[in-house]
Amino acid sequence: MNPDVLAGFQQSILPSSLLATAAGAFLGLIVGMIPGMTISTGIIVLLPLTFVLDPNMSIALLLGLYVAGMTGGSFSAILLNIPGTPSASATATDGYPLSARGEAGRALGISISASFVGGIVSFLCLFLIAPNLAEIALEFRAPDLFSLVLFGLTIICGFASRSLIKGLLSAVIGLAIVTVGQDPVMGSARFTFGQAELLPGIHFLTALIGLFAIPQLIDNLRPGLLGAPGQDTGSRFGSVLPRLADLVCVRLPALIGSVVGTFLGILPGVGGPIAAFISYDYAKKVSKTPEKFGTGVIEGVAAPEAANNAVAGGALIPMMTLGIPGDPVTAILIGALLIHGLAPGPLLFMERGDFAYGVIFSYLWANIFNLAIALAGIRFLVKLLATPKVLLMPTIAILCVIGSYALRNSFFDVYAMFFFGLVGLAMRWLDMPVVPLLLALVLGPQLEEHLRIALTASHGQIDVFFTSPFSLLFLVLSVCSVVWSFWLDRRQGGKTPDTAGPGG
Amino acid sequence: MRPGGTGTMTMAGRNVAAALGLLAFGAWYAWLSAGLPERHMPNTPGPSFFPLIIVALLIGLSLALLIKGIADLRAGRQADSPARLAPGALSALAAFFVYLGALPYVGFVVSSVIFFAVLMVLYGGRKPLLIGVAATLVPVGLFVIFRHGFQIVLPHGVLGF
Repeated sequence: MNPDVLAGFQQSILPSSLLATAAGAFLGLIVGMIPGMTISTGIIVLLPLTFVLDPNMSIALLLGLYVAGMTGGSFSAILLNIPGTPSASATATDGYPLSARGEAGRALGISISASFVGGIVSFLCLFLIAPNLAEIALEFRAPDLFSLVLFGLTIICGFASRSLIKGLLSAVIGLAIVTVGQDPVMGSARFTFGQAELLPGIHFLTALIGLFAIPQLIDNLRPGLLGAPGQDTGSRFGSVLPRLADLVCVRLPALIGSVVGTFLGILPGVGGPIAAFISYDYAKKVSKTPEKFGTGVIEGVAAPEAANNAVAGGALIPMMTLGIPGDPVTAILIGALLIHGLAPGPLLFMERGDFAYGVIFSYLWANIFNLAIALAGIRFLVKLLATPKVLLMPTIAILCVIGSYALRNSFFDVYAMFFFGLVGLAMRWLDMPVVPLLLALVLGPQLEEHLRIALTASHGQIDVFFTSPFSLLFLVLSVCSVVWSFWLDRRQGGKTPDTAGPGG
Repeated sequence: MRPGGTGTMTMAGRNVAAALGLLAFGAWYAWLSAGLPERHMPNTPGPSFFPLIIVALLIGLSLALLIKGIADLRAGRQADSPARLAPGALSALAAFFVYLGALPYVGFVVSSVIFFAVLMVLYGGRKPLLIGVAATLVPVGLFVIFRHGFQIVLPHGVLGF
């Protein structure tokens, strides 16, 4: 056996790692469940904590939150008909009717079990595919890497279904931001205006906290769902332990959701909501009673829930092996790993194979803890749906300040965070998606570096990008990715599920 | 005001305003990029190479947005606009602004207690006792956890905490 696999497994079962995973899963269920909170916000709030934890604990904590956040979103979808996360939108279609006729416990049990199945299937794919893909990626040269990063950036199209121009503009603004600071090839200062604080560039996480958290804090000022008085969270809903007959009944929809979710998770920009809706559609097509879908059938809960949890494992594959985020949450995870000096990508498997496998096994534990905590603690957890936002939102605001200050002990980062918060609000005012900007912040430096190295090595010959087989493949995939996004948008008649949200 | 509208400006109007702003930004960014040092090796991209690509994209896309916005305005098309800012948003942003300005001088604990209380009121808190207790306990608790538990240095100001 590869010694890194064993070392990774051992790291993942350290009491500290398991505790962090369990804590992350617990928090993730809460974050996912509360309408108005997103998985991305949950991770942002936890970021300052990860600065002081060791990398294994940090990633275990964040993965626990990521996985359980997906499941938590279904609780409010089933009980209140309000999806806690965009990924849980499809779950409400059958989950809420089940709840309305007094079978909420049954729906929740199926949702939790299907999430587990989706998580395990995607773990197996992650475990089997990721190391092999990383090995292939080691062969990549600068032109291949440029085309690969460009392919990663085509995720933008998936988040720009309302207006491609605005999605692209958002990405270009992000690319302009990453040019501030030292030039990645020659090291000369650009756009720093003589300010020493600007020389290292705008910190990715500073921008991220501002762009995501501040607009959300402002949005939650509306009298809304979070902690609204009179919410019936339906804490009396019978047993959530699924019956054997129900499990047999949902085995095919859960499997469909798992496979579709894992595959779509690997593709940049597709995300949980689309995977959930497509799985729901497929489950309906293979059902013997498709006419019952939408009236409250457990197959309609199992397929989307398996899919949105499988997306998490799928999205980890390009993140771990290529350094390309599959969704906004994995983009944040890359930032969190970079804080610890660990750059996800093929070299991670070569240089820190133990850590890479540790991440993969932590993902497995995250799914197991998610199942156990959700089944055992759901009665307690749903009571938190009435969390008063008068306490939650100010706490998040303070944690945003701590998180941005603690990055480099610098007030400049705090002010930059606030500035990006205003940028995020302006983008909302314009209905401009913020995710392309985020992805440009993550991928921009690599894009410029590989482009310039490739052109320098080829003495300015642009055909270098078309003569390398890998580069050509990624360029073709980039075109396919763009076409796929347009096709998906047209197929759904412009009713693409909202993937522009900040996560989940 | 139509449902979902802004009350003051349609989305087409916003697009035109944004396009003009981005064009101005693009021109400024282009001017700065042109002033960057050049590389003297032939056929190799220097520090201004990538920024100039961004300039071309920024100006091209901004022009596209401007044309679309003007066309929508002329045709009287009303795209769905996101809802306007939440009530209290400007007060919350002002409170944030003052808080960040005071933080280096007053320190984390005192400024955060006041900021927390202000935000609680803005989020609908109406019980003075709850506001007083929560606004004190949460920031102080976070200070203790991060400063002493995680050894993360937080702004201390003239008061030392």
